[in-house]
Amino acid sequence: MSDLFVVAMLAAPVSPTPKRQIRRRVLRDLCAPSSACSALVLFLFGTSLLALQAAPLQGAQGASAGQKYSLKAAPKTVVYGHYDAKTLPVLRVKSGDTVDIETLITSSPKDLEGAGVPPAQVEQSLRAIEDEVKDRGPGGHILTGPVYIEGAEPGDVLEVRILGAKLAIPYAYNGFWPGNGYLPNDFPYEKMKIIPLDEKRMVAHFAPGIEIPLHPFFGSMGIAPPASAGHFSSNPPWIMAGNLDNKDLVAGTTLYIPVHAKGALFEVGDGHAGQGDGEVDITALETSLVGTFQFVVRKDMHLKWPRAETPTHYISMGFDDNLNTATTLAVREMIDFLVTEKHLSRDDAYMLSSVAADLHITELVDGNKGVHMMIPKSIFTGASK
Amino acid sequence: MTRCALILIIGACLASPSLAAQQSSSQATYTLKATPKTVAWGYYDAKAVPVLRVKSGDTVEIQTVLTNNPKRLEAAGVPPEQVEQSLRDIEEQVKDKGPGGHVLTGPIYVEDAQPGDVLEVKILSIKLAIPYAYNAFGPGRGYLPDDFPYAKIKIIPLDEKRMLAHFAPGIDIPLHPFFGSMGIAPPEGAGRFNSAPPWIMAGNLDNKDLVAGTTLYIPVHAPGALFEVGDGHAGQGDGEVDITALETSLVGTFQFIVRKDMHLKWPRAETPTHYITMGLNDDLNACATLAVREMIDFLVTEKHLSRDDAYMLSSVAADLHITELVDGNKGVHMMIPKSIFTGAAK
Repeated sequence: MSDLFVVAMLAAPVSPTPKRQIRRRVLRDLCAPSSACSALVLFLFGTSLLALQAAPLQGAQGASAGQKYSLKAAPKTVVYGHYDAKTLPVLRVKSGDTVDIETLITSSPKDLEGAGVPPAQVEQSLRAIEDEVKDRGPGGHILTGPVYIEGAEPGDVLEVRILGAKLAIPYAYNGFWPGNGYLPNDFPYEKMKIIPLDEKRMVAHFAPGIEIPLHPFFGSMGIAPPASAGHFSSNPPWIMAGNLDNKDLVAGTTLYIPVHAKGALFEVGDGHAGQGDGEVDITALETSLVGTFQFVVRKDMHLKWPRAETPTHYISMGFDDNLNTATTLAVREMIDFLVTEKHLSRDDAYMLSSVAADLHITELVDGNKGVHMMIPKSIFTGASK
Repeated sequence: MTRCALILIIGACLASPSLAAQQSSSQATYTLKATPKTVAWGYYDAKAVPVLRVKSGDTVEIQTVLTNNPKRLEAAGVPPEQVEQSLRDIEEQVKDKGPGGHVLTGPIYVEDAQPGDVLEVKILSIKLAIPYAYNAFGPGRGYLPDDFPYAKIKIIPLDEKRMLAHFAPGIDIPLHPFFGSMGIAPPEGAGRFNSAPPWIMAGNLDNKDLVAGTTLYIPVHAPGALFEVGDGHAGQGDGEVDITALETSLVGTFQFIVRKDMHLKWPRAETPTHYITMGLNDDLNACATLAVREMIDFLVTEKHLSRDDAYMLSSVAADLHITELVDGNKGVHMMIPKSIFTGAAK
């Protein structure tokens, strides 16, 4: 298992997480796959000794579940723009282990500085990645990982518990570009706006007199698609989750993803400090986040599509380039959930979906559109049925 | 205008004004019951004869009946004495039905409302009228007609004290009563317009967020606006996927204001917590596009944002909901929280 050696080399003792300022680059390549896709590039050096890839807080090779790791975003611990069953893992964990994962904003130092971010507030890790990572695309997201979860096999479900999602920088950006977004003909030009984030009050200062409450979440959390899907763009969400851009997947949420490759190969990034359902101009409050995730391999679950459970709701999802198809999928998934997990009859499940479950347009701008259906947990007052 | 004279007479007979009905200066309060002579069964129409005439600023308490008939309700298990007499009377006496299936109370003629104006409808209160709701689906209807190619109806008890629906043992749904259909006459050229699809004159919006405390703004297309209301829902999910909600009878209190200063192409709303724009079309993508463009227009016109900022703010702070998928025209609405506007926006 050559993976093991890679991981062993990358894992290192914990050190305080330096909060670097990050900058990012824009999503111009979302529509245009770049060519340098599949070659494995060897990086000569990490940026510095601080670019520690994975740092177990306890003995990394301990046998019992519940180890804690820390994974920084560095040129050698990120994947730029894809999910792929053949990507070499940067960390290997057991079912039950927890990992703090640093992620970077979806932008570049140049674009961030061009939009007005002071150079000192651009994270050094973003600069290093921008300088050193040559294997990019087809998507534009910098994803930290992949994390290999031992024992995860195709047919299983990876349960991802999102234990925390913290702001890493004091700003976000929002931007749109020609040919992107849901109204490309109405806005056939480019614009980028830096939006200050107030971590104490947890609001974004969008404009004088407009403050948006923050609800940090990761736009992209996913695992490898089936090997035959190859170097799969990080842009469209699909059966392996990925770029869900689902604003409801905040800290406290558990995401269930069907596994398609050994080890699952979890990647995460595209931090959003907040977003509206639809993400209509193609960006959210784009920022850098640090997340804490616990991974549990579920041999007892079998899913076709990702599902989630937030502190307050159960969520089903549909993804397709056709919005109607995405909707149909989300409704059928909700019916299946209610039948399988809540033991309703199919007819009752359809009826309950009609009277108590809400269809949200998750996003309209990622190639595959997303629709998610939410049903409140509070309506289940006892043994349902 | 012979119709106007007729309206006055009918209005005087059918409506019971609790203040002097013809008082011009102060705002009057009326009560409008659902009877065979005060409902329009299945349509909005610029030529429908009004059953009440009010002035801008007047308030009307309106009784509505659920979208069903006594026979089906009893067959589904509703005790005969719990079927409203008004529904029986309407079922027996109203012969002019369709093309839609909703029993709508009205129309109400709002004086001085002219095409090009906006009718502001303040939904002051909504009360349950009966202790049950139903949910149902049938072949060829709903969003998954191939998955459920048969008919089913379920009576669901409503607990008004706890404001819950007892859907099944262990499943209680909080109630948020609203009217599925609130609308006015479409342009005269649309003729007798089916009450099923929501459109520029609002109508069968099936928008669960339009609860009491909400104000609905509807562009006027015919003199007097001709407001009708019905299709009470004790609760619903966004999408209304099986084609019905918690269908029940509601009593609503509405205040009508003619807005000469507003000009809209599509209905909008303001709830206690959100501003809402809407897109209505048989294509779901077109609905979403409309709702987003309407939100941008709202933010530019009412909140004085630049167009670019309005697009960006829609992306980061406004939510797209699928209102309903089952009414011919589908609906998407976009909601932006009022609380984010902390001062003079811009």
